Amino acid sequence: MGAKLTSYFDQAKAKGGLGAQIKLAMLTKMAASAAAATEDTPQNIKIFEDAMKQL
Amino acid sequence: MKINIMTKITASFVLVVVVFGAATIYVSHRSTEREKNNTVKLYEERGLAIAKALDSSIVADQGLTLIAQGMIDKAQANGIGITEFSVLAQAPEGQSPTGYWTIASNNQASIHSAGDAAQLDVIKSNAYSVHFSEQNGARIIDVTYPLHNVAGKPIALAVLRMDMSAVDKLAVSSSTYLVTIIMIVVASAVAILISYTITRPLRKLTAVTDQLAAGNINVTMPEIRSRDEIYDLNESLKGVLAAVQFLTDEVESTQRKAGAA
Repeated sequence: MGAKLTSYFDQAKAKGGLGAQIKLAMLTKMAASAAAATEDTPQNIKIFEDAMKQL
Repeated sequence: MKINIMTKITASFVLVVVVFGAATIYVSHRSTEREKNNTVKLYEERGLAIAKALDSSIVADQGLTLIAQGMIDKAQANGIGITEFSVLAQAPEGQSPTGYWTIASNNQASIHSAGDAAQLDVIKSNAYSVHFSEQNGARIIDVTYPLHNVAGKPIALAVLRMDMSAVDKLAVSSSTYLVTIIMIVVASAVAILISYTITRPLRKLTAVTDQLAAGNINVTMPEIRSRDEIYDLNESLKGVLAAVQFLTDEVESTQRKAGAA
C-alpha cells in the first residue's frame, strides 16, 4: 500500500534534495508517511506525477 | 468584543433591508403627501371653476335667482363633493333682513337667511376668498366668489362648501407596511441561510486550525465542497500541513538513525 507513492519522495530527493521533498508534500498535500498509508490508485499516482513535473 | 462572521453577514443583510424598507415607506409618505396637496389644489380649482362659470352666466340683476338655482342644482347633480352651494344677493328694499340674503341654495331652509360679515367683506373687496377648515373632524373648503353683472359690478356672492374627506383617506396603504415587513422577514431568513452556508466550512476550518495552533499537527484537514476562497484556503493549508508533517517525520527519522548509531 502506497509503495509507488512513497517512491516519488525518493525521486524528489534525488532531483532536488529536502527542498524538493517538502515541495512534493505541499503539492500533493501528503507527507511521506501519509503516502505510505495511502492506496496507489491511478488518481493518486496522477497527482504525484503532476507534482513531480512542477519540481 | 468578538462578533462572528455569521452575525456580521446577517446583520449587514438585515440592515440593508431595513434601510431599504424605511426608504420605501418614506418615499410612499412623500408621494401620498404630494397627492394630498394636489387633491386639495384640485378641490380649490374645481370650486373656483364652478363659481366662475356662474359668474359668466350672469348678464343682469334680473333672473339671477333662476340662473343661480339652476347652476346649484346642476353642480349638486354632478356629485362633486359640494355640501353647500348658495348665492347671496342684495335683499329688496323693505325686506328683512336688510343687506345680503340667500336667494338660491341647495339647502332650501337657508333661503332668505342673512349673509355673514365675512361674506359681505368679499362683496366689498370684490375679490374671491378660499378658506380651508375642519368641521366634525373632516376637512372642508369654503370658496366665496363675487358674481358680477355685465358692467362688472359685484351684485351677488357665490358661497361653496366642499367636503374634502377624500383627501384624508389618502394615506400610505397598509399593504406597503405589510410588504415591507414581509420583505424584512424573508431577507433576514435568506441572510441567515446565506451566512450559514458561508460560515459552516469556515467553522470546520477554524476547528482544525485551533488544533494546529495548540501544537497538534496530526490533524485531518476537513473536506470542503464549496469551490470558493475557503476551499482554496483549506487546500493551501493541507499542503502546508503535509510539508510540516513531512519535516517532522524526517526529523524523527534522523533522530532515530542518530540514536541507533
